[in-house]
Amino acid sequence: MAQFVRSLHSSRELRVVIPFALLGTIFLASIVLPLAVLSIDALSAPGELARVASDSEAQSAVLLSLEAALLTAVMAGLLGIPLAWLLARVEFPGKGLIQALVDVPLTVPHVVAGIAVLFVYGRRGLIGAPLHHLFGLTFWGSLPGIVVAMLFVSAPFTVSAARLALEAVDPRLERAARSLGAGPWRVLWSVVLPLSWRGLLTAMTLGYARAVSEFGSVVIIAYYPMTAPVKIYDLFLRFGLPEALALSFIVLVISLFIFIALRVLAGSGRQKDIE
Amino acid sequence: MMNQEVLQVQGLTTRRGDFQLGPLAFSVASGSCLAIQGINGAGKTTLLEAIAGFSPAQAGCLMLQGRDITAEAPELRRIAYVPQDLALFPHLTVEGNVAFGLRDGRRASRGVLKRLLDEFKLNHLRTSYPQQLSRGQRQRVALARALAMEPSLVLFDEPSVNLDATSCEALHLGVRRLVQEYDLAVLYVTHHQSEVARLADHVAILSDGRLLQTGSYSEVHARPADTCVASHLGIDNLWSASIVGKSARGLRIDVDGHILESSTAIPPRGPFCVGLSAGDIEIARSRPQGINNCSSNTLALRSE
Repeated sequence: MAQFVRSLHSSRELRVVIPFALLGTIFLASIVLPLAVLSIDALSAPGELARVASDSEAQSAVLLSLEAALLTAVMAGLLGIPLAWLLARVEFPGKGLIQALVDVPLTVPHVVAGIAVLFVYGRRGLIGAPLHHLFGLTFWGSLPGIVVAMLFVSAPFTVSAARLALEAVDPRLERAARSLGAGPWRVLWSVVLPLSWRGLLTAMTLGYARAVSEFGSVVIIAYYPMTAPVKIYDLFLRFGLPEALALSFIVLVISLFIFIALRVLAGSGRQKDIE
Repeated sequence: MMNQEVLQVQGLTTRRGDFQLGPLAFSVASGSCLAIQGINGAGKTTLLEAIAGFSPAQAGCLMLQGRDITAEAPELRRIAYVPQDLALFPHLTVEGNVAFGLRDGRRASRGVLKRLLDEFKLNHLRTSYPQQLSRGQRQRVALARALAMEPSLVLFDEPSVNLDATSCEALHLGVRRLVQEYDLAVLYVTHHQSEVARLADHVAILSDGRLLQTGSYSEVHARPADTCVASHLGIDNLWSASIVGKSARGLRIDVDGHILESSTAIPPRGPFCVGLSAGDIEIARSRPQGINNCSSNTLALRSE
């Protein structure tokens, strides 16, 4: 700290640091302030908070959100990490195009994403129709629908972060393992995964965080059953701000708690690997 | 014991981007160390990668103990590869690192593991992680790990870079041990002349993807094939010379009007140079006894 203060004082960089710090403060305030005000308002009406917390509809909406986001994170890991490995380790024609395709969902408005997903997974859709015929699986207004919508918007985060995590594994270690007699699968299992699992978990955490907060695409494919964001929107439309406030606060607290827990898990012992 | 040829490289050609290595031909026998000497960019690492199986051969073939391994996957070749940075697994203990290369199932190999840990004085460090070890200890782990897979050939890629004198000494002892005690064939890549002199039974001079000369160290040092090899060997003082006759010990050679006597009686073919290695120059206040105007280390070599 002392060194930090000294380096600032002894430097002409102060002329840059001060305006940048101001801009940064405005940015942080725009994040923290709404959440803080929401929390204070919600906490000032503890009775309402308790009533919403014990409401079974609100509870099932929150549980559905967590369940769907968790499923999405696992699916994004299962489908996205192998792709991330290909992008990180294999040279193939069209690699740039594949990377661009992975990032496309980032630029698509989420309502559009919802409609697009509905077209493919709907009862007459390209994927939805055969799955409905074969397994009786319905995506419209159901958990699987919520998961595919969440997957569409959150997978790019998982794939990009997983790619970075896998690229951080030194290829020379993989070669050393190969020359010591380990086949490609054993190298993956005994060298790549142990060295990258924290990064991969972070990637899935990012996917989870993006999925649990998704509203736009989910509301198109499944208004019912309601996820927490849809439920809040519903309460807001029908009863106004005060009704929506309490559930918003509850969802905020749960989301932050899970996010921090996963970050701590992914970050624990990282120092040991890097040294 | 007869030294058998472990590795035979026959017309090997490989590519990395625009760089072409080869065609190369040489062999390494069991219980001997071949040093590949060359400057940076000569293709030394590419050559090791081709032998280890990480760079596919475009032509030629690699024979390991009579078996054609040219198209074999790296994990099937059973060639130990010790890269410059040792590449120890940071998530495994010393024991885990050494055990990684064990050939058979765990139970059968327990004895081998224990023996290796004992031999390389790693027993007290078995539960330590590589990042907790000194450079010298890490090297011992790398050697023990390489031996755990029971290889017949060990490749070293400039392992002495960034080493202090003591660690370097320990490394050289370790390498000599592999050659003498374990009767292994060792291929040691370096750009240090002094290492070649200390370690190698044979030397191959690699430059721009091609072998300029191979042979026993004393052979190559006494009669470098050309001025380029001479400069790789640190012989930078070169003069054009001609043979003027024979003497009792060898040849009488005219160098700039001075007559020198060479220690070899075999005349070089075609025009040649005489070189003097800086290490062979001694400065004395008075003329030493028994030395006239000839040098016992006179080198005869062809000029380009």
